[in-house]
Amino acid sequence: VTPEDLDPPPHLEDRIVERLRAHGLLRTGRPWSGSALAAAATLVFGFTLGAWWPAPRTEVARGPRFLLLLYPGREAQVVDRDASARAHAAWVAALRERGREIRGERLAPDAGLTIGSGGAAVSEALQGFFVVGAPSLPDAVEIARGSPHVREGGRVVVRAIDTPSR
Amino acid sequence: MTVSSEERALLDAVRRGEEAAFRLLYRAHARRVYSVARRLVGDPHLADDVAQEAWFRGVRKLDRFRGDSAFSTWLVGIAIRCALEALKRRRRDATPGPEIEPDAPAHPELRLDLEAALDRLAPGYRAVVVLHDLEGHTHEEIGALLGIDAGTAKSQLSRGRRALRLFLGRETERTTP
Repeated sequence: VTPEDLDPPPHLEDRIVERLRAHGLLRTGRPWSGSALAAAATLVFGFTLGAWWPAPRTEVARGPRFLLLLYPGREAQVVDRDASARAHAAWVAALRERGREIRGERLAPDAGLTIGSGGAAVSEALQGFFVVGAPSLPDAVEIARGSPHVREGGRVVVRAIDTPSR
Repeated sequence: MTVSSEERALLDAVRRGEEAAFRLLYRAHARRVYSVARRLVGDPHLADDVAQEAWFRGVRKLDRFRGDSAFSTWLVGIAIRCALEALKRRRRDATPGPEIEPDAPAHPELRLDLEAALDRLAPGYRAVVVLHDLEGHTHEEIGALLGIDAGTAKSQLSRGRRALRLFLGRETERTTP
């Protein structure tokens, strides 16, 4: 059994939900909401398997922002997803303590769907993203260099977000 | 505090039947539950069924979860029981084949790797070996999860390991010039 074998197959979640619905144990409809519950999602997710950090209700920073796109490195790396999630959560917390605003998500390990045609659009490899506030591109690059993703052998593409001039 | 107030709120929402809350809870603990199921039963399709059953029972019995342990521990306990039931069913339905018992005579004709050897272990032994050696639980935790004494868990571990060593050792002897 390899570490990948221990990941639940993607279809399992829907199968379980369907069964629970069929037995009247779950219902669809009103979206799950409320600040206390959002906080619960944050904690449960942020430090286990899901998102790497709490999703803030506010937008990231006014001022320059950068998109960090996370891709695999040249060499295939076996990374423990839990350990990686914890490392990213710690990294984000440390950046926030230093006054950086940052948010982002880890993407599900599937190719997703490409809508429309033409041009280059390779979604398969993309593993996750961050939006980070930083004074300049070199600062954003410095942040990217310090990310657990790079330490784990991954690549990070840093792009400036186009901010309308005021 | 074993269950944080945030997780308690999430569990309350699942008790009320809120699907989105369940999906969050699932994603938080899915790997933990599935990995135990997969390691215990080996076969991925059976592991799917075990994980599904564990989640189903977990939600159905959620009112009985008092928060004395972490939710994940409670749920993993359910998953282990589901896995043991599935293993017993599989053995009952399967054609009888060679099975490892700690004191069984040698089967030098068998070519087994660790995974296959685990498959041959009786479910109780397999559970303690997997939970201790692969999942990193203590004897006390295993005792609590399986509903047996810590001492029994320890002696079953020792017998299970001996059975594995016997088979794997024989394999090595057989394949080494």
